[in-house]
Parts: sequence; C-alpha cells; structure tokens
Amino acid sequence: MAETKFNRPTFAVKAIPSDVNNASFLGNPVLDNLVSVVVALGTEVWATKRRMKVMESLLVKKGITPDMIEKYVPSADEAAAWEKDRNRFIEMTFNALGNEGYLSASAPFPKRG
Amino acid sequence: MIGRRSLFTAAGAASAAVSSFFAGRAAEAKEKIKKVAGDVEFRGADGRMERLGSLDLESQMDFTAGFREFNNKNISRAAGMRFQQLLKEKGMDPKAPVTFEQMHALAENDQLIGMSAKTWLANQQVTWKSLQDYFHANADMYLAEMEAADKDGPGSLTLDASIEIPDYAKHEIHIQPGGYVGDPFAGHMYHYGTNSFYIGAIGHNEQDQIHKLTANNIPMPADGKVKRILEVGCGLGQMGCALKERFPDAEVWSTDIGAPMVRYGHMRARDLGIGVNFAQGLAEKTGFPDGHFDMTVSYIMHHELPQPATRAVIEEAYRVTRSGGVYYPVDFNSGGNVGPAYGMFRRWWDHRWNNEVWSREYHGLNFTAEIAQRGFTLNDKTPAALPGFGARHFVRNA
Repeated sequence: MAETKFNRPTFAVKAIPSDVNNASFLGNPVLDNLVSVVVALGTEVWATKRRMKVMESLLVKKGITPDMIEKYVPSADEAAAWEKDRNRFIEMTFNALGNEGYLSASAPFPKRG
Repeated sequence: MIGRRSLFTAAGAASAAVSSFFAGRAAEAKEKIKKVAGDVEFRGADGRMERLGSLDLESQMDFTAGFREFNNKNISRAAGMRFQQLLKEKGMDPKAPVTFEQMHALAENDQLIGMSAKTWLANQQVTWKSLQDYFHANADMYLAEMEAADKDGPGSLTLDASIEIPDYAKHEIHIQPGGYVGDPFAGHMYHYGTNSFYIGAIGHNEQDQIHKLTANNIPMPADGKVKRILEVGCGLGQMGCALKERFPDAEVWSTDIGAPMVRYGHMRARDLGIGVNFAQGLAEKTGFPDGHFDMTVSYIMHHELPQPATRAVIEEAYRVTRSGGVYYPVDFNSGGNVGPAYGMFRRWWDHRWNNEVWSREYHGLNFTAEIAQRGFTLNDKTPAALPGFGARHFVRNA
C-alpha cells in the first residue's frame, strides 16, 4: 500500500522499522515468499467463506434454509457446467505440482534447427 | 506500553495457568459499550469491543486468530519435536541449559523449524497489514472520531508534542507497522491485533477479562487508602480502566510515550464511560509529585525496555509512590538467558524476528531483585496477579 497522506493531525513520529522482510527461514527466499502468499490466501478464502455463512444465515430469514442448500440437486446443464468449471479450477490451482524444473536460470536455449 | 508481546516463550507456561482459570467463563456477561457523539461504530459492538468496520476485516482477524492458535498447537509442536530429535542426534540432553549460540548451531538450517517460524510471522504480518490497510483507507473518518473524543470526557487526554521520544521506544515491536509511536492508528491496530494474540496464547480478552482479573488481584495498600493510582506504559490503558472500575472513587492516571496509543485508549475509555486520565509521557519521568500515588502499576511493559530504562522506571516508581503504597509491575518471570534448548529457540526467535528488541535485556535481569534493591519490600506470600507471570507485590519503604 502506498504511503498514506493524512489530512488531520496524527501525533505520530517516525518509527525504527523492523527488518523482518529480509529474513529467510527456509533456505530459499522464494519459498519464504510462497508461504507468505499461502497464509494471505488462507485469510482471504476464510473471509469469503465467512461472508457466505452470513449470506446463508440471511437467506434462512428469507425462507432458504441450509437444508435446502445441502440437498439442492443441480440440473443436468448445471452439473455439466459446474464440472467444467471445477476442472478448470483444479488445473489452474494444482497444475504446477506436476512440473519438474531442471534448467537453471542461466541455461541457454536448447539447440534450434 | 502494555502487553507488547506475542508470547512465544513465557506464554507457554502462562497460557496453561490462565486458560484454566478462564475455563467455563465463556458465557461471561457482556457490558454494552456506550454510543456517544462522533463515535464511528456502524457495525455495532460486542460488549466492550466495537466491531471492526467491515465484515471482511473482521473475518480476516478471525482467520489470523485461528491460524495463530493452530500454529502454536500444531506446527510449533512439530518443530519442538524436531528440535528434540536434533538434540538426540547430537547426544544432548533436551532439558540441559544451552546458550543462544548452541541453539543456533542446532536449528539454523532445519526446514521444519524454519517453517514454524515463517508461518507464524506470515500470519502476524497479515494481521497487521489487514488492519493498517483498512484504517489508512478510512483515515479521515477514524481520525475525526479521535479528534471528537480528544477533549471529551469522562477522563481526560494530555498530549505533549514537545516530548523527546527515546529511540528505544520507536521500534516496531511485534513487527507492528510504525510500532506504538509511528502510526496514527497504532492503538486501533494494537487493540484488535492483540485480541488474536490473547486468544492464541493466553485466553480471551475481548471484554478485558485478563486485565480485570489482573487488576482485581493486585493487592491494595495495607491501610486501605487508594485515592490515586498510576499506570505507566499503559498502551490502551486497559489496566487503568480495570483499576478505575475496581476503585471508582480513585483518580487514575494512565501514561504512555505513544500518542496514538493514549489517544485511542482515552477514546475507548470515554466510550465505556470510564473516567481515566490519559497522558503522553515517559514511565521514567512522569512529572508527578513525590509520594503522589497509593498504587503504581504497569502491565507487561518492562520486557519492552532496555535495562537502564527499567532501572530508571523503578526509581521513578519509588519517587511517586507514597510510603506504604503498592508497586506492582506485571511482567514475565525473568532472570537468565540460558535454558532448555527449544525454549531458548523460541525466545531468540521472538526477540529477533517478532522484533521484541529488548526482551533479551529484560530476561537477562533479575527484575524482582532489581526492584527490591530500590527501596521496595517484596511480599513474597502474594501469588502472581496474572497467573504464570512474575509475582511482584512490592510495598514502598518509609
């Protein structure tokens, strides 16, 4: 986030910053960064799930109960569309797990014809 | 400055004691925070705790509290077991004291131990960033709210723009952005951020349960006179508020070097209808007259101070507390930087990477003995006001 411009008195002074972002605990700063990403993603996913719980609670008050949601049977068209979307989601999210990199960053292009 | 610690070391011991104390108290009656002019509270309040300004932010804090608890119970436990395994491989006794240097040599390159540290810190950073981003994005509204409260009561607020803030107090303790002096919303962030710390490490404190417990356990002077109380390094002044509630006729002062902290503390006390006087100031130089207070307290402040400051604060407490008055600085047990290996790792890690800049100096002191050397008598029959922490019921000598 860019530095905030305040339009009112803040009574704050300059602090001495920590150097925590320079730390690497996993022997590779990229791995450290990935862990930060995963934790931040977890925070956002939970916020989304919790919002859905709020929505479900409100739906109950409008006559849509959790039981109705649990027992909902999608139509054939819906099922096909959802399956397609599920597969896209899985591929997007987990495809990298099967990748086995072996070229170093300085590796030249393979010989081209 | 209060509770400025995301407990890693002493918290383990403290946690069990306090958690058991609070067992079965989940249904504790909640007070209703007062709605006052200028108050920004559009999502209502949960007892003493105003709800955060957005559902997403509230949910993010819910996640970070849960993740911290999970991390402490699972990832950290696994790291601890790994640590024991490493000790065994080296033929070392897990209970034998080791130095920081020995501990580093053992754990430096272990991936599981590193993961435990990294995940905890990543969660801590998400906590602070989520809060800071929200309050900065809505800065004008929340600054206006504090401005409306600054001159309102009950209680009062005194800020001192001329005060020279020592460098030791400018660090980003707990890696909180801006620390306690450098962000206008330091108090807001600290309040909501430490809720997650309390849940993960000690027990629920959303209704100030832990501060009330501690305040109610601090002994009063033997003559029963409590006209004036001073809380130094007060942070949000939760302890000062709890003492004012216990002694409603007493004049209570809560001071802290961080202006954003006392501003927020005053605003919150006002909203709660608690008449505490907040003032920006140094604990080692309060400016109050000699022998002015019947009770002088602090709440988990001293481990955030370098040793010379701690000694100066004790001397100031001696000066401003009357003969026979009570001095009770709540803080961790202290007295040595050598201990069992995993505990030393956690302590080091908390010090270095959670930016508990002065905790090693604190733990290197025998804090209780330092006080006893400066004109106070320890009543060693009194149990710790906060279970698991140091028992330091001192009476000022005549």
